Amino acid sequence: MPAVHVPAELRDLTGGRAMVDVDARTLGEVIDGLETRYPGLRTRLVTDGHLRPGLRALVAGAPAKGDLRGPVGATDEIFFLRQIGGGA
Amino acid sequence: MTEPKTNGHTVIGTRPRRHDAVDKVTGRALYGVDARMPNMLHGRVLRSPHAHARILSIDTSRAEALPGVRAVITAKDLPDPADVMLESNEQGSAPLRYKVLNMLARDRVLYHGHAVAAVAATDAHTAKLALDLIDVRYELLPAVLDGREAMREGAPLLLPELRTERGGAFGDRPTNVASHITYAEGDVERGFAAADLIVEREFTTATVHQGYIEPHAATASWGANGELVIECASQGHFVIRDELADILQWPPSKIRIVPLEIGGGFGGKTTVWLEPHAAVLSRKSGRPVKVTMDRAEVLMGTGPAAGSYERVKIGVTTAGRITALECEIMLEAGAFPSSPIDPAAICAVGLYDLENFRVDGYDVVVNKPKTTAYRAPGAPQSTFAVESVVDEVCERLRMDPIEFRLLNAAREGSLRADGTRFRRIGMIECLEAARASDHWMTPLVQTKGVKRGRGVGAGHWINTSGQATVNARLDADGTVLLLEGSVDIGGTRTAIAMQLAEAIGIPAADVHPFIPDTSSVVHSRLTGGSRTAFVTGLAAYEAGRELQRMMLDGLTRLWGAEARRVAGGGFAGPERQVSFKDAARLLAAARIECNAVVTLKAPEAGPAYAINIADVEVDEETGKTRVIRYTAVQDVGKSIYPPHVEGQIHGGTAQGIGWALNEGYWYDAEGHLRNATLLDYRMPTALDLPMIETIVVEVPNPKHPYGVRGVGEIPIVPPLATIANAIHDAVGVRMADLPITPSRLAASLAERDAGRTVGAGR
Repeated sequence: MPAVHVPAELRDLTGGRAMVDVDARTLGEVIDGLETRYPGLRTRLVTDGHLRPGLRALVAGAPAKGDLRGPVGATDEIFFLRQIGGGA
Repeated sequence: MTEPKTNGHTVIGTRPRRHDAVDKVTGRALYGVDARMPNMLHGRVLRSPHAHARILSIDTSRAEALPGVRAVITAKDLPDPADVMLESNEQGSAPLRYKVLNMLARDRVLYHGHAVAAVAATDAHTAKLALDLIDVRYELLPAVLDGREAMREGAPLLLPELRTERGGAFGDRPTNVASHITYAEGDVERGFAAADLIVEREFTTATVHQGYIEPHAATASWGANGELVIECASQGHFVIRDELADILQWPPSKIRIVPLEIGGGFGGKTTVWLEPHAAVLSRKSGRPVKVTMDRAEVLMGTGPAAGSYERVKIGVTTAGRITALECEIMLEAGAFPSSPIDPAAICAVGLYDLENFRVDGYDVVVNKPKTTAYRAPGAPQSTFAVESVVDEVCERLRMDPIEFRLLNAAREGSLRADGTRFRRIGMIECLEAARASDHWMTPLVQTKGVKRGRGVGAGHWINTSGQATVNARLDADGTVLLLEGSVDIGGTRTAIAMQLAEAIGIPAADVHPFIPDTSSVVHSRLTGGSRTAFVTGLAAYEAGRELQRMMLDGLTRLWGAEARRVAGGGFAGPERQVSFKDAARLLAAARIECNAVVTLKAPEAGPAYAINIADVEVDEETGKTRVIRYTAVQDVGKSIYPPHVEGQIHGGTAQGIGWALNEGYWYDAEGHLRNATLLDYRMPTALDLPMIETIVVEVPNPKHPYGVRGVGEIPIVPPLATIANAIHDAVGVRMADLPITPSRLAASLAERDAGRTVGAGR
């Protein structure tokens, strides 16, 4: 089952849990599964059907493809990361 | 200086003449201020004399009546920020909305130097005179200059609509705290419970400026056909175009940015400053307009690096293993949200192999200029705090500072701040190189009259990637025209050209790199984040391979038999062999064009590590610190062009030493910036610094064919703590507040002599 790393700011909704297993085959299903178990998580991750601006998902070590329709493997780890700019 | 190995490469790792050298040393290269257009006007900007005030009225009539004045603009001449559609920028929507307000103040000025109006006139002198004729009536408001004061209940509020963002949710009360972030893994409480020693300290750093030598200049021509052309120096001409499109609500296809050479940026030229002024003045006057800044405007009105506060707590066992690290960071964003709080937090825990950590970061608005990037943004501040505490831990454990760091160093598989794990990184190799260095092996010799000390500090920077484009075109003479989508900072055009040359087996001199305007090459992200030699270099490598495929296809068609590559860049068929140049001539004669365009997004940058060693001597009577020996060790992945790699290390180290010892914005009680000149804002000069020795370590980045990692930013990260740790070694006081000016150090020495505790933060 895919394992989701919950960003620290959202762990107030997961009772402090950092890793959560979710039965899902797409990123959208991952978020559906999280919302079912921890109501309120979806609005912290998704806006207008997309990951909220400034947030990106990493699936099995690579940027998620196809937005929320992107596939998720049974043993994949999923991270939600804030986008970070650099300097020079 | 250590000479990197070429490892069988013929171009990479060598020292050819850089492609822009002759133009730059003969004065032929064009910089921002060199732009000239026919019938051009000169523009100047009126800036707020107050740190915080309501604008009651702006009367421009007297300025407009001055002979020679052709246009005066205020915020009314920009689209209302509420109507601004924000789609193209990579920085998210809120910062760009605030960017409009930062260009020209609308109802309130939020810092001393905030732009209020701008004038275009037939000459610069008239434009300046006209500024004095603009009547602005202000109602003064209380200002808050310190981030921690701005966080307190009852502090003056800068942006009434601001609410604290935390993980996608917003607070319900007005505040100056724009965001509160957290990175946490493991269990810090359990980690501290397992510790034999816990050290907790507070730190502050001052607002500092990038100090690029070239002041800003932009020359705009808004044609009657609606095409806006701007010639300017920046770190990303596509960023300038896209931000202008958003701010002016004008189609990007009608904006063309011509990149000129840049006289330093270091992060400060990653965004628009006076380009919108030049554009709107040109539209309003119907003539080209050049707007320039003087040095005071650069310091007052552009984007310095954030002042900061840190609290760091580290627990260790007596054997020297870190059991937990906790950190609180506050960065002053300036007048509008968005400081580099994320990288500050990430780098605070990126140095060590930690199982238990928590970092809380706060992005706070204050009545200072809106900050922008400065070389490894956020990392110098947080690393100063962490590495100062690590030094104290080493002292109290009586452990060698390099051995302690080796024991705890981040390595492949170590946790990153965001919960992912590092791939191949080079901190251990840097520490081993530092331990084996002549500097570390040579005992420090004391001398009469001063106290000498040696310090060590480490640094980590994430490095970034993103989109890059190159266009490689084979010319008939056997050279390759290389159009690079990334503007050249620090010699990147040569580092990119060398990667193409290596890929196709020709000398670097046979590649002609050129950076065209935004209408002539496909979109590339800015030159920043230490990304360009890595990702645009990767694009050049791929373009080289594609160019070779095209040449092989063309020769196969010409010869009617399969062509193949041979050593030295040439080609061979069943009956003949030709050099690269001869192949180019044959293909050109047959009108077979070989033109490879590559646009790519690199998957992942290779993080950077560095270790510094500093020897200082302190005059205990005056508190003056002199750096007498300095060694910078850095993992660069692969050194493409060694002179530039060394130059980046020299430059970043010099800036870091300035941050540690000299530099800082100085405001009076009313919030006026009082040291907006380079006489009073003290950047170190060559006379203030010793020769900086460089040791280049090469731990290849597995995500790049030549192993390239970013080089430009990490050198500024370690010096702050390295210098502070060396001062402690010399005189026994821990300096927790930067800069460590002579007066501040003398005061701490006096407290030491009086038997009081020193170094507990401002």
